[in-house]
Amino acid sequence: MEHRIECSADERVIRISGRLTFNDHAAFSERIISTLEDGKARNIVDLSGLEFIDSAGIGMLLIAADHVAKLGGKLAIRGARGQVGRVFEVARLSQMLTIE
Amino acid sequence: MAQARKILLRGLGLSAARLNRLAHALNASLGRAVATPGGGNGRPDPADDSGTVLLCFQETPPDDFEGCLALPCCACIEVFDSQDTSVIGALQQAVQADLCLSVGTVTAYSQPLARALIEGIASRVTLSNRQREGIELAVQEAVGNAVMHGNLMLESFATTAERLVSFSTAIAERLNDRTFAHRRVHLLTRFGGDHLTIEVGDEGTGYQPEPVRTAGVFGRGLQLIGAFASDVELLDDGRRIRMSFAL
Repeated sequence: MEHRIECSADERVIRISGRLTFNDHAAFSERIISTLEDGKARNIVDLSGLEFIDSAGIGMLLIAADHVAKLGGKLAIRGARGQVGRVFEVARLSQMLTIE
Repeated sequence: MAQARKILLRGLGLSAARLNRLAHALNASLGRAVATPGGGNGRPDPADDSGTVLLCFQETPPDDFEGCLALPCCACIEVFDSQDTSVIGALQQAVQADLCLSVGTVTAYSQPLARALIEGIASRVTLSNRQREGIELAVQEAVGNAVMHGNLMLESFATTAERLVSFSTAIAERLNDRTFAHRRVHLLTRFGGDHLTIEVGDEGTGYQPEPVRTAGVFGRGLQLIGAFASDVELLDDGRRIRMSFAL
């Protein structure tokens, strides 16, 4: 998993690329979840550079969304394509996450 | 695996003496010739073309792990300090299958096993992009279950940010514990005429899948496997999953 974070006054864009799988728990916790702690109101997770995701990766995105909600903010997913987009469809993720 | 072809053991990080000992043991159980080309450096050897190559590595996986099952290599097997018995068992399984990966928990956690297997399959049979994608995801889910629930004996994935921290700590601790780290994950592939069968096994104490919850992640791995495999069987109290895919 690689990532890049861009922040403006009221919005944060987290770009995740590469693969997001069951061996990324520690990296996701340290690099993604920890950046959400400031409670910024609007968070976008951009997955246009993500090539592969598994169910553990989906779980991590759900954790991030739940965590932001607990802090009073919102998190949306955008840019899922290829294998990632098709896994989202099969897992019916649009029922659990905000997908732009 | 074509029975007529000679079997060639290739080593990476093993002493020549150990590689020869493994070849001798496999030769005795198979009753046919097993040779050890390449001097144990793991690199391709011109002699490889004359047979089916089984690669054994110790300590450091091949640099290009995704390509470890490229022709003519049919198996990639990790060797630990002194456990010839488990290695010989893995080699015997490999000979019975068309493709085999048998590695320890740390390698299964850190290396792209599902990608390596799908690359090996795709170099032998024609797959559409959708087939390739579905098989890779199903294998990835099975390997994730084998590593996390099976060998590392972690009951379920974390579902909150707080639990993600303790879950990550538990993973790191168990990967550093030889009791967990030296358990094997096996992937065995057999080609049928119009289908392909992949078994993924672990050495944990067994696993009962939890039901899918609409708002959680439990069971989603098995749900995804079921969406892409034409048939799924859980065997050995959950220590082995057999998945079939139409070709």
